[in-house]
Amino acid sequence: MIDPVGGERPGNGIVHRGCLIPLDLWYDVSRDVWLRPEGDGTVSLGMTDVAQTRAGKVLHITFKKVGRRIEAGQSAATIESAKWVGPFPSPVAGTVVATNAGAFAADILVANRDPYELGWLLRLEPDEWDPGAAGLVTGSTAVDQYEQRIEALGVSCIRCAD
Amino acid sequence: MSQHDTPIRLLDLGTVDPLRSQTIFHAVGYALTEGAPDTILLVSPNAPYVSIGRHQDVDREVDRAVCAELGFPVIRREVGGGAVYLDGNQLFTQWIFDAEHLPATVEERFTLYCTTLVDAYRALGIEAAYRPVNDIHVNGRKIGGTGAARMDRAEVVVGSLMFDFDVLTMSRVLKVPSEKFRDKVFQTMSEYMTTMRRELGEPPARAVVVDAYVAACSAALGRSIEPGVLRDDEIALAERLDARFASKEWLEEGGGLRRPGVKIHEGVRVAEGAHKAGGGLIRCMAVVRDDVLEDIAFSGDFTARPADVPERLAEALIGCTVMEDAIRARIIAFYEQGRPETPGVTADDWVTAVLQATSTAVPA
Repeated sequence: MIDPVGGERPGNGIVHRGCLIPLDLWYDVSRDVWLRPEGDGTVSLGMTDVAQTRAGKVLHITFKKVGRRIEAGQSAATIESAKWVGPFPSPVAGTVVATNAGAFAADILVANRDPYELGWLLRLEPDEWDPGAAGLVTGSTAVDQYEQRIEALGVSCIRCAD
Repeated sequence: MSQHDTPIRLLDLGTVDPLRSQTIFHAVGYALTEGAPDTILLVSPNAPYVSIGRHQDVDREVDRAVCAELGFPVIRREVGGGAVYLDGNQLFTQWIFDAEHLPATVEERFTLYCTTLVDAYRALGIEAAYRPVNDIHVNGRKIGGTGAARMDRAEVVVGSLMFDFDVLTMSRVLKVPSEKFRDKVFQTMSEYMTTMRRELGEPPARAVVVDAYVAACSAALGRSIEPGVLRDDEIALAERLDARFASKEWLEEGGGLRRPGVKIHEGVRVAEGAHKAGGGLIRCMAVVRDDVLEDIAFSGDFTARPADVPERLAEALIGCTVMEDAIRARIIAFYEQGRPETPGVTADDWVTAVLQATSTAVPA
């Protein structure tokens, strides 16, 4: 369970209007997606704290199948929450190598409770991992951009599963 | 939400066929490009049909044989929520906006959207009120339904203004576990749903309702609303979507979203469950209102003496909070007072049967 005030990642993330932004992840800020290179050539993707707040409690999720190719910007999963249905867009092109369907089957609110760890959505083998070329940001740049976005959207994050 | 003062395009399409009444707002959504106008689309179907939610399993939710017999198409939408019966007595009010022009969270978008429906009803003399997240009530009865979706850069919110509603037909097209359950769904919908006809005796003319709605939208959004027409690219996309939405593959696409029971509105649901006790199967059907058992009935192949034990136990449970301890306390008290003989069926078996029927959350 993450403490939304930032207890889970002491010194490794900032909290802006309740929204946790870990410093060590890469972000597609406009799509509200985080990415983490796993060191084996694959990349994990998930909803940011802002994304889970905007969507509300997840009710159902379907994943693109393992082995499926995803183009940059294409949806890698479909999320339903409180009568809203939306895509989970992948910022990078690649092939799905794993989904977190098991965790969502055990707890459909896992991304609402823990968007950056237990609530990851998919793992991709990217065609290439060039975060700069894909428009991704990390560290203090990501924090700056996300803080501006959170203000522009007027969002305050809540772990709505609680 | 950033501020925008560009006019909103109003598309009043009158009536269209059932398929197009769904595909058109998807087409306008997917065709929305940067700088294109936001759209409020008003349309009614020219014939009845059944719409199912994006992730529903059609065979679990809809009685397809009855729909075929009645000539009703069944159409999957790319919007969440449950199976619903739709016909020409409903005016669909569909918002297709650039995502940047609506509030950022689903909840805030529903609040804004529902507020315009509430304001329109109130202008027509109906004491409607918003009930979060996405219901509109009139004195505890739900009027209409809403849903939402993201389609590329568009955020879409859909719902309806209810002139009238055919509760009997709605209860016929749903897949339910038994006819008794169907009767209960019909009774509960009749009690907890309302329409302009029910509230006003006679619904207002369509033009009057449209004027009230457009005025409410303009006021709530702080933007002017100007009549427009569909673009060629939107029509072409709608034609492509017609083929996809009419296909067997799309309709029968693996669902997965189980909907145990029928949600009548945010606070009221009808549900059923069963428990296999040593002395036989106990079926339990319950109407739950705001987490209280409003009605409950038991059936099954167990033995009970006297024979009216199931009815009297059900009566003893009405008004009970749906919590295991509270249910158990009432059932134990019933056993202690009446000393019923239920071989192979213990107090705990009844508790389990009630919880089977009531504890499963019914999705929106």
